[in-house]
Amino acid sequence: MKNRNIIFFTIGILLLVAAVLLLSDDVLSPYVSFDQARQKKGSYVQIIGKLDRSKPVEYSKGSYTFTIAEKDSMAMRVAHAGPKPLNFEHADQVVILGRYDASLDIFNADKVLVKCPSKYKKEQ
Amino acid sequence: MGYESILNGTTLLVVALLVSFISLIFLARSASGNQFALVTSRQLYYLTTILIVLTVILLLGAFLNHQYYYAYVYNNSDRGLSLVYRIAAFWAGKEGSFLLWLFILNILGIFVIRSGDENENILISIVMITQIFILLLLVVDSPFKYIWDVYADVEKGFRPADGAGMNPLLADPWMVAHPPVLFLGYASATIPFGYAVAAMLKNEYSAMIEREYSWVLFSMLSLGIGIFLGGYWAYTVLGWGGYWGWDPVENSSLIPWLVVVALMHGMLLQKRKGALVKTNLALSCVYFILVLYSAFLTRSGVLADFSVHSFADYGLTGYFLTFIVFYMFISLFLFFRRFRQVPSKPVNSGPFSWQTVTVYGIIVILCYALFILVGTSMPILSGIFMKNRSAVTTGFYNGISVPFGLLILGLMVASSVRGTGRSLTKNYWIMIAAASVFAGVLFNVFKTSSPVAYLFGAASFFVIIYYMMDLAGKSPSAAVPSRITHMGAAVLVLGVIASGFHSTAGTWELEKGREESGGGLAVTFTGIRNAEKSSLEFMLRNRGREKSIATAYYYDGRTNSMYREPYISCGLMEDLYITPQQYIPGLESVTTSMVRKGQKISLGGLDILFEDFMTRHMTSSEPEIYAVLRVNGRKVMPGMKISSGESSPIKAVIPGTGRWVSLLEVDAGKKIIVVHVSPSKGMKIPPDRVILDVSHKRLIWLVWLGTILISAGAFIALVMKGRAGRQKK
Repeated sequence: MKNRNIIFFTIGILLLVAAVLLLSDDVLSPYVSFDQARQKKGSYVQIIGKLDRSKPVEYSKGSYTFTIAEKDSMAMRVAHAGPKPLNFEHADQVVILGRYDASLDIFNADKVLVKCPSKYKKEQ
Repeated sequence: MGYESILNGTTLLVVALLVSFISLIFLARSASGNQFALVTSRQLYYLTTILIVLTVILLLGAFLNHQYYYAYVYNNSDRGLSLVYRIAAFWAGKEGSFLLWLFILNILGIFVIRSGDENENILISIVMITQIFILLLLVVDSPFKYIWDVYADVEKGFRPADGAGMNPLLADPWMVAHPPVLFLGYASATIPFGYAVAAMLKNEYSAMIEREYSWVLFSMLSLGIGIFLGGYWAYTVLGWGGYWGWDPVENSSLIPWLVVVALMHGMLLQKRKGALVKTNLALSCVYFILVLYSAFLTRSGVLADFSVHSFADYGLTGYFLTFIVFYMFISLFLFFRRFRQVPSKPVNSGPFSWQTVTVYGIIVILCYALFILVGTSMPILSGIFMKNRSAVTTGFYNGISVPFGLLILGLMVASSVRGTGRSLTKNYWIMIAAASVFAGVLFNVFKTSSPVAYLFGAASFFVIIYYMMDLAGKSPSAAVPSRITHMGAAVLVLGVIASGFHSTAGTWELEKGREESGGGLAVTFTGIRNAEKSSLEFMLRNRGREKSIATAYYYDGRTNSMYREPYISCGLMEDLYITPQQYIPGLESVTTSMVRKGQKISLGGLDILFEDFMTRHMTSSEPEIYAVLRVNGRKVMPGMKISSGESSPIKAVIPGTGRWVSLLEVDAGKKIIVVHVSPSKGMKIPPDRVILDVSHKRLIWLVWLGTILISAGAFIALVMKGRAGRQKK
């Protein structure tokens, strides 16, 4: 077995995997602001915001919608088709992956990550 | 024992740190063959063992004796926990898990000393340096910090009667077993690294291979079982997306595991053919450094915004980077100094021999690990090289797993075909190939049309059928562990395909008392059982069999979170996985609503218009805010009084109805209120509702069976290795 074969084999694998990645969509999820998410409508992004509890969480067949807020920009309505994460109700901040749909002004999430506030509560 | 006690845990840790330093000095002196220094270093090592064991006992005692004045105990335990979970709370947080790591590492060191290895002083030096690093982390962020040192508003000497409790997600039987086994894998990674350093320092590469191989097997087995246990745990806990979600925490233990799997194969080649010596030296170092990198990723908070785990930045990033750079420097320095002196035979055989195929397998596994490493580190890498910090999606991992998975399955077959040395007829191969294609189609047909599922199905069946025939025939006993492990990998792949491509999921909305059905399953929501920990109750009818079930659904006040638990019914063909999403009490839907300023709503038979806000006593210490409402045309003003940060509602009677209205929430900035009206007599209350996710996860037990076979194979290899070692003596 020659070193040349090993190098060829390794390069072959790397090219193969690179090809697979090029052919598949949405392998990256850049972290963006709400405004950037709205501009980049249709492309896969990641946003973070505070859960706005004054807006209702609505349920419909297979999904639920809620609203998150970010400083200095318009609130974002988010729809997530999938199980609601644990601790969702008490989330401090929510990280959301998905894409913005301009026609409905809604962010279609395929993943919702919940950041919870610190556990410590002062003794009553 | 009071908190004033001299026998404070942090003091013990500091003493252990000092003794470790002194021991290291004697270890360095013993390098020249000084027996006195070696014996002294050993005694000092045992002294650190005693100190570490005392620390462990002290922390364990703090959990068992409810010493909630330790912030770590306070934050991870409470009186409501059963004994098992009070013990497991020990490793529920970062500090305790480091202490567990340290404890296991130290005990492993004793095994090295007792084994009478001629490289003891080098191996123990490496253990000792690592021990010093972990001790440093523990001293910087001690599990024995008092609650008043951590929280400024707590009075000194305060003894909380109860703790804040364990996160209910962690109060799971798997949580008891998963971390210790995982840390056994992490801690044991130090020893192969030690052997690599010893080999390079002594410029002697074949003498210690057998001993190192045993440690590599052990480390691979324990880290692997640790990862698998984590998978079972994730499956029974909500919000993790099944048994594997490509979360940074999961990936960060998978990456070193793939490397140690590659290392194990490389050592087989070295043992049998004297090849790949340099590769194995490098992989032993890489494995250990990746374990540290993994701890860095998951404990330093760098990935806080990219994971389902709630990390905090503990301020340990600098320490970790220092350790990693230190070990990398040692590894690279020694490796390049010895690079030309390492005697290694080339892999000298035909293009499809067992050796060549194994080398290809090692390359594939390492490339796979590299891609996962790049993906997991993307938030850090993109922060350096790109405008927007960026993570990779699960699509990235699933995408790369297709070519890697197929290559690995293919090479497994190729290696064993060549490895047996038996010549088999062409017809034999055609028969197996035909059978596996048939099985692959049968497995997937009517379930999915994805070509990936069919490809993996056929490839996995090929591995399984061939290995079954091989094991049934005359396969050399030395090959049995590899046969079982490889078959386990194929069974695991089948399970991944079935649970990923054949499963169905949907959301159901159920009214109390009304049966809904679909896919052979009928569910009736029978009500909520209110207890300290409330649960939702259902009646299931699954293929004629009735069963009443309950799933936990409660607000956990101490951790300030809603806790929901899935109901899982395991079956031969599929698991039924029911997740309660939301419980909507009927009464609430006709008595409570959100209203915007200027909006008119109808609630509980009343027309409510929210006109404006009004405030009173705004400059006093007890300001009041009112909402001006028109209820059925008449002005009503419920309010909210704020005194010392707490708000209390002010009810307002609705004239002529005998009912009242109050405010539950007020957001003056957004001009939104949440109003609550008292129900009227004889009011029609809609039924309670519940929203459920119902999924059928097909053949998921194949995943579990695969992991058991992989572990069993590695275990048998370890036992056989142990026997062979004893026979030599």
